[in-house]
Amino acid sequence: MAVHSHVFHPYGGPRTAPRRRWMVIARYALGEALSQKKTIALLVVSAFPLLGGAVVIYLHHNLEAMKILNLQVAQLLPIDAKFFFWILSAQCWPAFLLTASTGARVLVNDFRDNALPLYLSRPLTRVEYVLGKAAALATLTSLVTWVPSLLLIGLQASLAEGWFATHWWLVPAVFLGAWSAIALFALVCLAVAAVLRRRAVAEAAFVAMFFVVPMIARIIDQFLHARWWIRLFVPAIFESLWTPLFRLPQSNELSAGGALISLTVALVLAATILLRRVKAWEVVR
Amino acid sequence: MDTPAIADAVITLQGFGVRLGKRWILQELNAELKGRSIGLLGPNGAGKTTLIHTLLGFHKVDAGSARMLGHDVARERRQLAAQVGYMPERDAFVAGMTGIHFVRLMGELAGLPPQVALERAHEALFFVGLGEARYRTVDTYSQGMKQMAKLAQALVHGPRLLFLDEPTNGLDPGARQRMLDLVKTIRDRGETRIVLSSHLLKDVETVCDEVVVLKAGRIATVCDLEAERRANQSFLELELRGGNGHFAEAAARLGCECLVHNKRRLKLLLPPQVGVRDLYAIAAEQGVQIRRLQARRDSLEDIFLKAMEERDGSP
Repeated sequence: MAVHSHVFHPYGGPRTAPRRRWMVIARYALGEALSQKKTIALLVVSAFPLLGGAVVIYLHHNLEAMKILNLQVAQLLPIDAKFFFWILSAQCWPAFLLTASTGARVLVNDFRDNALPLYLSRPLTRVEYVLGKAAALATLTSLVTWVPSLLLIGLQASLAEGWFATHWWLVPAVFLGAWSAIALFALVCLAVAAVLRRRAVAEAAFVAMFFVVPMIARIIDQFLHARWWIRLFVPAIFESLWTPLFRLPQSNELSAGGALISLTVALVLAATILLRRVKAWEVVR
Repeated sequence: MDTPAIADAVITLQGFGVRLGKRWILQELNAELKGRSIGLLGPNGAGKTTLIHTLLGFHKVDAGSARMLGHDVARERRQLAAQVGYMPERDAFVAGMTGIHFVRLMGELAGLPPQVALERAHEALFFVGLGEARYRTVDTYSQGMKQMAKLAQALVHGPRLLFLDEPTNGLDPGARQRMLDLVKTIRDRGETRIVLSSHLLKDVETVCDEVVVLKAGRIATVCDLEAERRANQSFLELELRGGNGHFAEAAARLGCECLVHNKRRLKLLLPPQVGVRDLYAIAAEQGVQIRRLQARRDSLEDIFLKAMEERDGSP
């Protein structure tokens, strides 16, 4: 058994860099998220589409395997920008579910038992606190979005000689596309959790934000003969944003500029709410 | 390192004011606090917690300035926060975390490297008496244990200044005594200054050597308890029986200051040349029986009540 001193004594040893304290928040929040079986299960499930993508890439470059499976190249998805666009679109769903299931938890626990004065009495600002929590969510969702997508690009590049020279731009496309989703999910989820302060309610509200709100907007649009709902519908926003990144033709009526405005407004709004809610003290009425 | 000498002011307030919304919560605070352990006293709503919160950087300084440990509170928050420990009044912990995990996290946030934070978290929890409970989640702790866990997290990084906001709140007499003993132990090591906010005069009197009494957002009095203790050695409480009520006047003629006066009880501040024998002599002259005579110092309660009355009477 370890023997510990039972007396109080001051500390005069080295300290960590002040500007990196948000990483402590991120590390503990990530640990909290990964301690949940639900999170692990979601991470495992999210690997299946990626494995499917890897198999398709492998088959494209292995005629013997195609022969065994009695497949023709024409029957497989072509490995091009559209392929990676679909992979990223598919991976946004597990990223969304991961954020919904862990985002509220990592923040609400601090609110529930009044831990914010303890955090903020240390050399840590509100922005760093939010950054730490968001970084934990971003790390989790990165594991199912841009990281595996880039690995698939790497796999394809390693198997098809000269392919990367003509498709290098897919790297920033995947990276930027994934980060637009990661940032939106993380900030909106934390903002909802900061406002509602109850985990189950916050999780439900986060999911509702992305689907119920556009539905309501669509109903209102029917009366106003307008088309505003699409500006609130997240899958449409991502599609409009990503198609120019992946050099694909525009497929819905929302322009990339309009989608960017919607995304920016949502991010700014969520960040503002978060910073207003994350404070060390409350006026008790 | 810019460690202030023991005689330097721990906290200096100059025209200090804080406004929440449109209301001034603290106004025109001027003080230079040098005590090893400083008590913040005042009735509910006096501004004690707001003062602590502002010194911790939770609120903006709206007027004047404040310095702690030689640093400007408004401009050097980050440097200060690393040297300060804070135990809030309300329950404060991270749900679902074990005691050791919680205290370690707080240590790391204060700047301790992870391994050091873990080691010191063990030590802090043993110090406050939670060594055996350190692997239990903090949610399952009793009220007294939660208070101790709050103290442990405030201490883990070895702060030079420790803010304790109502540390004995919700504690039974035994736990309260343990808490005060711990605070005294920290104080007596002399390396950590303490600011203790409480409305329990006894707690402040037990632990503190300097007291700031706040009333309605202003300083009603700043009192050096050590000096008061030394100055009040000739203070006597008398219980009288009989006589014609002129005992106090006769004592005053000897140079005694009569602080509290009613028919049967007197509080006298004796000048150096007057002794108890002189009082018995007056009593014999006046035909008064001295039924009880107790030498005591001015209690903090007296100082507090006097400060409250003075403020009430002031324009």
